[in-house]
Amino acid sequence: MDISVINSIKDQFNKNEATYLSSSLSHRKSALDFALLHNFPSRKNEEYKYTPVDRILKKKFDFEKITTSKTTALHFEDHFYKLKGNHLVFLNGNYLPARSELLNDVCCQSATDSDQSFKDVFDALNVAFCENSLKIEVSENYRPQPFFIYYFYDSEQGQVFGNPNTQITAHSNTHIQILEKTISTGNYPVFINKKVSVDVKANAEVNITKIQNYKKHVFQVYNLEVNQDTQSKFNSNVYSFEGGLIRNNLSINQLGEHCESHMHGLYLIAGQTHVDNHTAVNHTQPHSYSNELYKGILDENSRAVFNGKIFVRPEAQKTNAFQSNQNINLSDEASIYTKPQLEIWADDVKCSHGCTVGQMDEEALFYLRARGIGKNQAKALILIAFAKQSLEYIPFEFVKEEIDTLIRKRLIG
Amino acid sequence: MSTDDQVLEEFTSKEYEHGWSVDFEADEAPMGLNEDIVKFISHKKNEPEWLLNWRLKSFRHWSQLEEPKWSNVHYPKIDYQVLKYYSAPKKGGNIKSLDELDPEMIKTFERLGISLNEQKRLSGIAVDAVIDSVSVATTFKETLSELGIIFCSFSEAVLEHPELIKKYLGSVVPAADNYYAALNSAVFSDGSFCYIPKGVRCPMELSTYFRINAANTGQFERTLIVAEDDSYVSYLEGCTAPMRDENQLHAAVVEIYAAKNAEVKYSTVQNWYPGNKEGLGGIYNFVTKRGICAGDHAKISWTQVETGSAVTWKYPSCILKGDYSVGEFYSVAVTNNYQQADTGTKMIHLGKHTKSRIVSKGISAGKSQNSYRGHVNISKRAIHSRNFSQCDSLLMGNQCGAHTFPYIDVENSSSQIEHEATTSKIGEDQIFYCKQRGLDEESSIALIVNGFAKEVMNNLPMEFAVEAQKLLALTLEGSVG
Amino acid sequence: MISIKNLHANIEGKEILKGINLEIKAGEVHAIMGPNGSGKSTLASVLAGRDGYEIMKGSIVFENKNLLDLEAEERAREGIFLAFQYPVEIPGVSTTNFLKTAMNQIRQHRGKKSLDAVAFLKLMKSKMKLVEIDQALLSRSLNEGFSGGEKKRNEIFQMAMLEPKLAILDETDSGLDIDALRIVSHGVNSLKSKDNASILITHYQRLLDYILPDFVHVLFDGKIVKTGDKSLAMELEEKGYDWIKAEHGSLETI
Repeated sequence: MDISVINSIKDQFNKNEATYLSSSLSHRKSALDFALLHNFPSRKNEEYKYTPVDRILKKKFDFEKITTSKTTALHFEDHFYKLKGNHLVFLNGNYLPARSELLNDVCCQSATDSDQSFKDVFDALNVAFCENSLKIEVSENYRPQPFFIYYFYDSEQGQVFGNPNTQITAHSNTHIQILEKTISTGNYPVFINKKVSVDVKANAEVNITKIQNYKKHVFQVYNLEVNQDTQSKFNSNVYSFEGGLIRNNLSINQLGEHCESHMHGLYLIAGQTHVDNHTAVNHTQPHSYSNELYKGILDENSRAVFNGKIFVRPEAQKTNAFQSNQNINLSDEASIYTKPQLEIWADDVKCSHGCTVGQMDEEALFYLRARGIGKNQAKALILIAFAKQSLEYIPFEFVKEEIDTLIRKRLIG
Repeated sequence: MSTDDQVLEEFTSKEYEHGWSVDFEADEAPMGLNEDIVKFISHKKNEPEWLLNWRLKSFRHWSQLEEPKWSNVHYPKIDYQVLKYYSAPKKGGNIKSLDELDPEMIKTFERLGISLNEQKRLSGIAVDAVIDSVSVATTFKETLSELGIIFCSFSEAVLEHPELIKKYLGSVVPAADNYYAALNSAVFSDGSFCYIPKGVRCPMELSTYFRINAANTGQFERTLIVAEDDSYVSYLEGCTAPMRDENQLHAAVVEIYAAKNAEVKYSTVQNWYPGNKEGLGGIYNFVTKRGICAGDHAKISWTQVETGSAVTWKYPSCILKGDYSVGEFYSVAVTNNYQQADTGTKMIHLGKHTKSRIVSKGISAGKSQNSYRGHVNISKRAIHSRNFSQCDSLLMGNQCGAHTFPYIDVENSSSQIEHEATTSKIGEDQIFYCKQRGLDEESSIALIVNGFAKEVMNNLPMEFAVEAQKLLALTLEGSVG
Repeated sequence: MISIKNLHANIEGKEILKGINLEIKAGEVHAIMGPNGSGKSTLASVLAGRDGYEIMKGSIVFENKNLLDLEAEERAREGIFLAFQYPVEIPGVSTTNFLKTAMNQIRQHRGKKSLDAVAFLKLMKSKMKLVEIDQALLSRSLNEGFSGGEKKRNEIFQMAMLEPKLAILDETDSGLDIDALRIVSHGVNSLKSKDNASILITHYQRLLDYILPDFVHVLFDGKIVKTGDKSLAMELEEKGYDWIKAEHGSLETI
């Protein structure tokens, strides 16, 4: 890392030190040391070849100018969905239990220390800087109301470096639905280094839906790590519309037999938005299943990157794994980099992946126009139909509507 | 024992048929690699000054590079100083007629099923035979030269047609391209040169047959094919090597230049010694093959059947520069025992309306690892381009692995790309069905595997398709030969 | 031709065939009927030599040879043919190519010379008419994308080409409409001779209107519990299998 960046980060840590729990300090300091010994990934790093975080941050974010303000003019409750559920609030990367509304009897604590280990620079920075993390634990056989987690960022006073951390444990036979949303205000750049870990125990089901509609000056690296036990189910749905950088790392470890994982994503991007979805599913036991579908429509100068890894270990016989990435490129200035990846060591399996990049279906376009529908409207209809396929798996009706509106807005204007 | 286990047992029983070696008298360079060796090689071949300089520049460049580690293959570090970089059978090369050829050598080729006797025009295929690093005979030269076609050893071409070599050498694979290309550019010994003049359709298949014989030598061939406007040539490369306990290095470079409306078909049936059942020995096959469709409407098609080598690292590629040019890649890669293959292709679309097609079939057995690595790059200017890729893997047993790493980069909005990959195994139901019709286990598997690889096999020149099919079946019976 | 005595067979530790006794002579057509789960397909698989079944007791003697000693392909070469209930797909391998390979291996086994391409095609053309199958279907990958009727007709076509001594038709009529049934039956009837025999495994008596059986056996709970002629089939059609179940105890759920 650049010496100036190192110093700015060290400064920032020192300014925050007083707010950290003293018992956590030594661990945080080790994390900080680890982070500063490493670099933000660059083009030379295979996994970040098309998303050089170091360069992006260097150009767009200044660690020296991070604001120390802890107040905000935001009225959190105004942004809550008018629905029965648990509404949890983060501000600038810290969980605020006092401003959250818990409905269910679930263990929902804030943790001011961390025993997390750190494997890369993002992990380490998250451990060092996250003041208050959120731990949700749902006990066996319990079915709580949905969790709405709102990540607020206020960069009115200066740049914000947020490190939210959420840990979710779903014990046996539970069923958890989570909706994540980010709301930002202010014009200074925001760099979000987000970490969410999910533990899905036997026979449990967790469903996470994420809406990513940020501003141009918001840059996010989001690491979502999931461990699944026998007979569990995990669903991830991510919808990305705008942002300076949206890098989603999703890693799923299927540790038991008969696990099921579904991953759906949609990116509808324009302007200079850069979305990068990196997913990895690790099948380690027999009779497991995974299904992935990511769709994208790119316009203007946007850039989309997709890398889906499927690992099938030697013991994971009778695994079925399917993956598909479909892209429509509307502009000559937009670029798509996709790399579906299969690493298979078991033979009694069914695995396939496919990806397409192209334009709209000309036949369909002509059909609509031949029925009297104007060209632009026909295009919009086709694109909307293309995009909406990924909405099928969202468990919340209102969210489907919200995303539908966003889609129409982007495609029709 | 279950059917699968029995079948797998049988796989590891047969032996590599071509594992024998012959004692020729050989002319060799001392062990090791330095500028003196490079000069030694160049001197031995009476090369002009400009070529020696080209070699030296490549060598200096290589010395500064590091061996690449990104591929999915693992092997002990190669000590480049314990290899010999030149070994030529004494009675070979520069011969005027087959009578001059060492009779041992003629027998060698007959044993391999290669006819050097021009009188035997049954196959009508012109052959350039290369033992170790030296081209020993080329057939049908006169017939071809009447059409203006030049088909001779690379060394000969340097002496007889220096202006062509100078123009095209390194134009598709520059010495600085990668580690092995640089090494090859410094110490290449021989290979084939082929030039098809404007408007000429080469009337027969051209073929080069490589054989590594001497121990502890690296084989560094350099092949250059130039097809001028409106020409056509179909070229086949075959290779074998004796069984030895040590690994042998094969780092070749093939460059193809296709001008406007030209078409070059390059087929390879690679059968290098793959190492024994315990993974001892075997050829390290690190090859850089690239073709450039320099003119509009040019077409280059790579077809390969890879069954040998302990470690394979090769990515035959096409640079689609001319508008409307076409690149194709058809491959069947079979790995067994402890073989490792990391192979694939690169299709670089630069021109408008360019098309590429990739069909890759991988078959893994034993404890082998078979990876497909592909790169399809549609640059901004390459509007209205299309690519279709199909990568299928067949796994036999659960101790092997099949992996796919396709990279797809698209930078314009008018192109169409489709990529599909599947992984499967031979179903017990399929085997039982065949058996119930009277086929035994081996025949059933051979039938199913050939069906799996059919699309690729159909692209081989007919004469070689039959050989390749047999080779496929034999490979999976535990042998490679 | 084939003599099955006290055959007991297990799969995955469970006993399915509990003492089958059956004698079939050349020139005969035997129908085996029974409710689902009675062991019909198991019997077919065991006769054809499919792996996965454990023979606990009993013997099968086919043309004076101990069938249980032979591998599946050896049984095929001896003249046993199984028309599968669900014929499998083999991509990239055409029916033509498949049959030629199989035929020549069988011929080799019988000490005959392999057929060359011309002779093979001639033979194919003559048999194709029998099941109204056309050349185009035969050049496609084996069973890939074939309709149910096409798959079954392909099975009978193969039977016509391979000329087996004992043909076992496993629910050949399932999923067929009247026309397909007619074509398939016509094929089977044309191949009948005094030197060969067939076993028709079926759930419904409908097939037996087209292919007249000499004997009808009812398989229930792993044993042949009744043997009769065509009238037994009619009785089953009228009354269903309940009266059999009542007579011999209810079927264990599998």
